[in-house]
Amino acid sequence: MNQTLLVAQLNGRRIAMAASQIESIVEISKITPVPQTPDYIEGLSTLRSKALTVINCARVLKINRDHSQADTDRQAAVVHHAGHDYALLLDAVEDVVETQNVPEEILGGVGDEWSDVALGIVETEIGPALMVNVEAFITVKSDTAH
Amino acid sequence: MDDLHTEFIAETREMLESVQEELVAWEADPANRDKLDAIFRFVHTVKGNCGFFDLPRLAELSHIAESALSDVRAGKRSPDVQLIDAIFATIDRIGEMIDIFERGEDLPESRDDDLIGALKVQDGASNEQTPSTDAAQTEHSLTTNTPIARSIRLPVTLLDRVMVGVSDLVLVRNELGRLIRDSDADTTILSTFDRLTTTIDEMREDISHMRMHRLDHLYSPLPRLVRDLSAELGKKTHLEIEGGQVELDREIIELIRDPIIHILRNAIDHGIESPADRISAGKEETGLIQIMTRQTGNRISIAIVDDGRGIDTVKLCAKAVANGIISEKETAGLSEKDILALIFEPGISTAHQVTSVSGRGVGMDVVRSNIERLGGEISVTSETGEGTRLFLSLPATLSIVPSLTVQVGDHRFGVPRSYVQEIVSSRSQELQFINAGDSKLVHYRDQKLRCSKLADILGIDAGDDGNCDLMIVKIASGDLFALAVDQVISHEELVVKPLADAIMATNLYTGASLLDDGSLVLMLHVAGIAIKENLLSDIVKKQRRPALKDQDNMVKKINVPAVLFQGLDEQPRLVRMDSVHRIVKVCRSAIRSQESSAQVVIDDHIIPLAGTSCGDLPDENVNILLLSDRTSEIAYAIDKVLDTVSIEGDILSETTDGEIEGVTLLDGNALEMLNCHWLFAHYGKPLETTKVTICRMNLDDAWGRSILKPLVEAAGYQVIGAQDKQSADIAIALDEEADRTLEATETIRLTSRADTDEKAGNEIYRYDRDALNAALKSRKRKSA
Repeated sequence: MNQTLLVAQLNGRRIAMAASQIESIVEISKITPVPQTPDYIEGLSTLRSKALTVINCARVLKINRDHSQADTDRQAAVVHHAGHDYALLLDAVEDVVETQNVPEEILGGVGDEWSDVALGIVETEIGPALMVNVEAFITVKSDTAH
Repeated sequence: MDDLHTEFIAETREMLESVQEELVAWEADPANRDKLDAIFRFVHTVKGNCGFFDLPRLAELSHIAESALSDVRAGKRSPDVQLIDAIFATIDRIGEMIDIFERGEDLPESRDDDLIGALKVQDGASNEQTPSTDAAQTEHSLTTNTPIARSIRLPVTLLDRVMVGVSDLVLVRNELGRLIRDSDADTTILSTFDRLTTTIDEMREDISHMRMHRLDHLYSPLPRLVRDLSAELGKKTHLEIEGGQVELDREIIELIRDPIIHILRNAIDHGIESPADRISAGKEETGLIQIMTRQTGNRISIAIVDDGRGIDTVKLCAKAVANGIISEKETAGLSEKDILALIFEPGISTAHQVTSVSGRGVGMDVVRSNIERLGGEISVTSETGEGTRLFLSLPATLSIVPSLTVQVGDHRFGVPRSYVQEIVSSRSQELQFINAGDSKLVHYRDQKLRCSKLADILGIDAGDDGNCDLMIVKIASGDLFALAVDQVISHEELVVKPLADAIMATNLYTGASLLDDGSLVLMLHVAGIAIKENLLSDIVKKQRRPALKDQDNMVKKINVPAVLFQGLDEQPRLVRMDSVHRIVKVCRSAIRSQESSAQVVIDDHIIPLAGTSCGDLPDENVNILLLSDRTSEIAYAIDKVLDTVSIEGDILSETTDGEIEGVTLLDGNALEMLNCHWLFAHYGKPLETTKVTICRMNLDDAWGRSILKPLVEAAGYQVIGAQDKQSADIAIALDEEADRTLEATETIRLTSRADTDEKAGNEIYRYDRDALNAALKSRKRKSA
């Protein structure tokens, strides 16, 4: 079965997401911060007249090293989940590829930071990528939130 | 009513269109049961809807068509050509009547005999032609009439898409506006752009009203419903509706229709008493139910208040325990509020009988889950004998909220204008701040208000301290507090959209709104902020206090509702209404009176009796006030109830501690007021309200009947036989009787053998009086 994947860079790693779950790729320029929310929520942005909740994926993983270039517009994947729209901030979007492989589990795991979101490693035409679960970035467990 | 008309017309039209297809298909294949059923349903619905309006002609016609079709369905009549034609003509006639009805004209005098004849009689070929000509005539007269406003139904998703489209259009317009301003465009472009702006604004306003509906739409059929239900239950109820002009999202209106009807049914069935009961309780014969609607910010609150008997918390608790919702132990720790909240638990119903009106298994739990699914809240308060109040709080998510936008540091927020009573600026006015511990107060019109800085609440950097605007915010309870922001920017009508759950979870925001320049503002959840700032406890306290009259210019007076009664010494006295649980009449024989104390038996409970010291008990029936502190009860013997009154004056406290709390002024007379606290302290404690405990034993046995029974009765038990249907607290079984079933909560085993070691065998030798008495006493204490 063919699956279309979005391949992107996050925190210096190559990740893949199921393209079917992603509405579009946007450049986020202006973010309205929302005080008193968990720190992985950067704030709100707009896509035409829709409000997007901007999620900093690196912070969801509790990785503090910042790989993004703060000055330029940042790329984000727009995801529609439970009636709301979210923008998942990524370091860079690489390509959209087709794959026939299913994610394979990695013996020994992928490390604490990634284990909540990782589905396994997937082989693509531009190289192997870590397949991640998009929803895991949105429905973050409460212990990660604080 | 106009809305209902439009709806009825639109609905009937819509059905007319679809039924035409069914009709044609049915004509082609009269045996097609599905099509027949569809036509039958249409006629049936029209008939049902006619009941709401005064349309006897339409009702009659649809009724006859319905009977004809039902005969066909039942196989009593075959669908011949004549009948099918007649049905066709009838459907057309209904369409014509709807047209006339829509124009607001009266229907002409009855001309339906032709159709009715054709529908009723199986033969009569002469009728065949008449209907169609008639229809043609009306058709002709229709075309000569001026066209009238029509309404159509649209799916809500389409409306949503259009709304989003218009919002996008506005953003593009604004962007274009900026470009035009920067580019020195000539005046023709500018004026064309202005025209575009006006058109878009008008369009936006119309679109935003498309989704909104007045609550009148929901409320208008309710008086009729209340009237019919009351009549069915032999009660008298008057419904008062306030605030029907509030507009609410159509979808929300549809979703709260059933819950509101259910609450009304409950109020009439369980709340409002029968006229006779109401009179004896000193109330108006006709019960009153009020529906009050308020829009506060982007929440709509609906209060449904009845003046019925209120919710019996004791019964409610018992029921909850019986139905396994909570355990007996848990009830002890429940506050009154928690107990009342039990009505929202599945599987609870306090009514003794299941009536046709309520108690069909659809309970308040369904109402609550429906309201909560909308993002709303429901709560209840109740006072025994006074009535029940249900509060619904609903979001009006898509309603347009008139708001103030405020600036704090780099952030901009929206605040619903309805919360803000006044804006005070430190720039134009000298403000006096007081530091009380860590909290800050501000002087505002002779009041000291708690002053919270929005920047502190949200943990953000604010501007200069001395240079701020204060919003005097009024929370629903009427409390005021001051919210400091850097600057109040402007007033805007905002369309608020909900945000992601992780943001809503902070309970600080109700949503976000897009401004015309494409920037976002967060709408503040003022009530949530009040909770965070610990202003909630004050809210609750205030609500419980009786309403203050005109707090600005009147001397504050608190009205205390009280019962005016005549004591046994024929002196009038007062007792606070809140303490009076109910008023009962008992037989003189139910009262045991001695010099030091007296008791009365009411509903199988022995209750301490007060009030006997000031006069002699009458010979026959005695009126009793049952006072309750919610855990125990005291009976107070009186001569009669005179009135229910409202005390406005102060109560002058009595210096000596006793039955009288003090003296107050009522209509120029000084009256004594009962001291309920003293009464409960004095009578309530030493004589615990004890239930009559019941002991089951085998009365067929002579030893049990003649020797054991007197002993058990002397210990204060009521003795019943083995087969008695009453439930027993303990049972006493002798020897092998223990193996038989003597149903009771606990069993005491007796043995005839004197040598039994009672500890080991858990049995008592039957003539060991001390052990037996001790066992009986300890069981009695336990069951009490």
